[in-house]
Amino acid sequence: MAYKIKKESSVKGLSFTYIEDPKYRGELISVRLLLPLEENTPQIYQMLGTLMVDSTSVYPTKAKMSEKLKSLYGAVQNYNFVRVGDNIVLGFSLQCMGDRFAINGETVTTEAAKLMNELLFSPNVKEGAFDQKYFEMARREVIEAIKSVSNNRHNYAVRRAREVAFEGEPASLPPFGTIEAAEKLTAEQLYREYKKMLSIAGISVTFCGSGHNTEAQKIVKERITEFAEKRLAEHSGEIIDKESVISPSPLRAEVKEVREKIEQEQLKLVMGFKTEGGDFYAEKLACMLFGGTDFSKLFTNVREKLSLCYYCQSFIMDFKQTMFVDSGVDAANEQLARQEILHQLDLLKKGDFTDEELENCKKSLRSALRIVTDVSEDFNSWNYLRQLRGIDITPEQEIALVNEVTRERVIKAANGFIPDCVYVLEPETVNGGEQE
Amino acid sequence: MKETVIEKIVSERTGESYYKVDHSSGLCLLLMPMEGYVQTYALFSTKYGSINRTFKTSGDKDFCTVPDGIAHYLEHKLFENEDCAAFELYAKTGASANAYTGFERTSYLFSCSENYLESLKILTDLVQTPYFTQENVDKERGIIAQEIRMSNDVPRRRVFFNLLKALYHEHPINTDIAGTEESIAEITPELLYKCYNAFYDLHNMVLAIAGNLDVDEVIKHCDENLKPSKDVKVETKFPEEPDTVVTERVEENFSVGVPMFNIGFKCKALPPEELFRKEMVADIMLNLLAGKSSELYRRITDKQLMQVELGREVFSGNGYFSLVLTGESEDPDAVLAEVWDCIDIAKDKGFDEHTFELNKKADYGGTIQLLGYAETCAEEMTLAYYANKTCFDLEDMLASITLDDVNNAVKELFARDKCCISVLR
Repeated sequence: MAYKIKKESSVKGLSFTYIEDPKYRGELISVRLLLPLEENTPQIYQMLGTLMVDSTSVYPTKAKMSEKLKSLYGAVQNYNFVRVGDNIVLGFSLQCMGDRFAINGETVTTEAAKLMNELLFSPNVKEGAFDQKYFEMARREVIEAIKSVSNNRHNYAVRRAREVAFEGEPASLPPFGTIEAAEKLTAEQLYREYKKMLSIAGISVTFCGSGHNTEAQKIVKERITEFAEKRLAEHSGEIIDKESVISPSPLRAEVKEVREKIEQEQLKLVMGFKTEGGDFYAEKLACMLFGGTDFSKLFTNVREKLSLCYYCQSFIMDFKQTMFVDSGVDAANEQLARQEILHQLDLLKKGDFTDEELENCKKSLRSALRIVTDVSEDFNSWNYLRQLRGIDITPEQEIALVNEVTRERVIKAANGFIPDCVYVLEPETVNGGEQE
Repeated sequence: MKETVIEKIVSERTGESYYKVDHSSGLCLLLMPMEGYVQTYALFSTKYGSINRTFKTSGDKDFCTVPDGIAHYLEHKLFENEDCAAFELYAKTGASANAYTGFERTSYLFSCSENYLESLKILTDLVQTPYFTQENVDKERGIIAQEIRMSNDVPRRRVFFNLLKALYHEHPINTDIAGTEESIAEITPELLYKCYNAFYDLHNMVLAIAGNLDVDEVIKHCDENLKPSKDVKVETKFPEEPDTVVTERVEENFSVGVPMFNIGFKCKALPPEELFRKEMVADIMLNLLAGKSSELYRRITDKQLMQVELGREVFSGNGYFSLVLTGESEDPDAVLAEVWDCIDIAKDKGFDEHTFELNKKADYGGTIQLLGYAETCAEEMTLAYYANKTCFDLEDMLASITLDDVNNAVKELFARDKCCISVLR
């Protein structure tokens, strides 16, 4: 174990994590804002993400920002938007090459740290509104993303299944919001939303690097701490400071089925299952045995033995305690695939798996957990997801928890998964095709 | 049998290194131990992809032509042995494994965090032990047919292959890697063995491993597990490809939210020794032409034709070289008109020197960071090997590129009568 990890939280709603490993060639500064997922928030946060990384008051055009990043040896400034449980995480990151590789001895990381501060606190705003030109561009970008949502049929089917599974819950809200809501926004309103966002967000800052970026860390830490202390005095009650964002979706009495049609060749089938269990590692291993690996029951039987599909896999949205199976099959074989998927889950519930198969899943999980520390971005994400679960843990400690899971716990976890919903995206013209 | 020869390749700039091993079996090994890394990543590749459709070995009298999609089919079938699928074998070691087929290369890989020699044994055994029967070949057909249908449902892929069909008359690059449901119906165990024997000769292959490894252990493993193979000297024949495009425009309806487009510029194919450098020059040129600092980006966003920059790719290889710009817009033809305007300006005035230097600096930073990942190290070593270079040559080659190179490229590579637009609505 070559890495060192240190965590600090001295002001309400603000935490710092320092991950240091001499092998990291780049330096990563990551700032994540934990926010509520509400009816009108997705398009607001998507637009804010775009606007904040594209320009600042110091680099007020995209061309100037692009030039600055290139001058830092191609530093990459980015945002991402993830729905976690019934919350949104708007994450900003700045990744750059380590100073030791600079040809002319430049200090790339301190410049990157200043850029991160500007991104957060010096938006491209004039007279109480975001720059109108860039605001319009960000709006059009969101609207086009909404229009293009069905372009990737596979992802679209999973997205729609999620909406069916979490109907009535914040987690079902579309990731880009709605065209109507985006059209109503103004540049002034968005700036007010920006200020509100910063005033309530649970802020998590992570520095990942080789251990030589202390000056950069200081620059960001001082600025964000100053901000957090000031807002604590002004907005104490509104600041999001959750222990955990796990928000299980309630079980449904009857399976809900939704069918839609679109122009495509292959039928996309997504089935949802929910649990009230909460035994995270046992559920994870049950999902792996079922369809989460290339030696799982679904892969071995639905794909390899029956040749029904190219992909048939299961995965868990653990913050919602919901497992999905997604697959692409020939329309003529839909019922056969559905029956086989349920049959395989039934076998798993009855304990129809060997100790060796369970051990193989644990090996796979252990391997992934060990490797996560090799790449700073992966380690950063892994650590933050644990933080959102309210756990302070290292990969090595998590491996020990995986090892402790027994066959009985896996069977119990599998039995907790209750069929919840089925979403079918059918081809507009049914074409059975040839099947072996 | 020839002797194993080990060469250490060192980066003058960073002092980093890897080993190129010319193994006695005929296989080339590229081994990069990475200090402090937990992961071992192995990539076993053969210089064989979907475009190697017509070929002969030194022992064959005539060229033979095989069905489209056979390289991909072979990859699926090699990923299992007589008893079980590769995934079941790797499951016992905890490794994560995969395989993929491209236009010119097929690769088998694994990633693991312990006992890498056990996983390496599975990998080298699988690739050296084909087992094709009528029954197991027939079983795979249904799975691959579903893979083809899945790919056909991906608009990004459809618009790209429509472009390739419009750019290339004869070259097999115009055909989907997985073939069609009709072409895979013709694949037999005999044809698979024929392709295997021609292209899976160790002289045509390279094994790159990066991360947590010991060079001596890997060489010992290869001594004990690689079956020396005869150099069959496979030769691929490509049909004569006219300089012209097939059509200047292709459109298809596929119910996409915002029309997607690919603009392709067909250029003269280059011999392998010239390819690598020209790809780098063209890549920088496309960044200058269409990146966020460019006049083209300013125009398409000011005119509200697009909100994000155009995607850019230098698409090149054996017998083909094209530049591709991609994006989504309600008016792809207006975007194309702006692209041509900006190309004409660049041809006339050349690119700005300051921006050119900044792009080179960014590319250097990108190259440095790439080598922080075991996967990309294995990939970069493989790519460089097939181009007869080392992966540290990239930095030197980048440093040698001048603004004149880039300004000449814009004049040379864009011709109005060799341009095509593919649109998916």
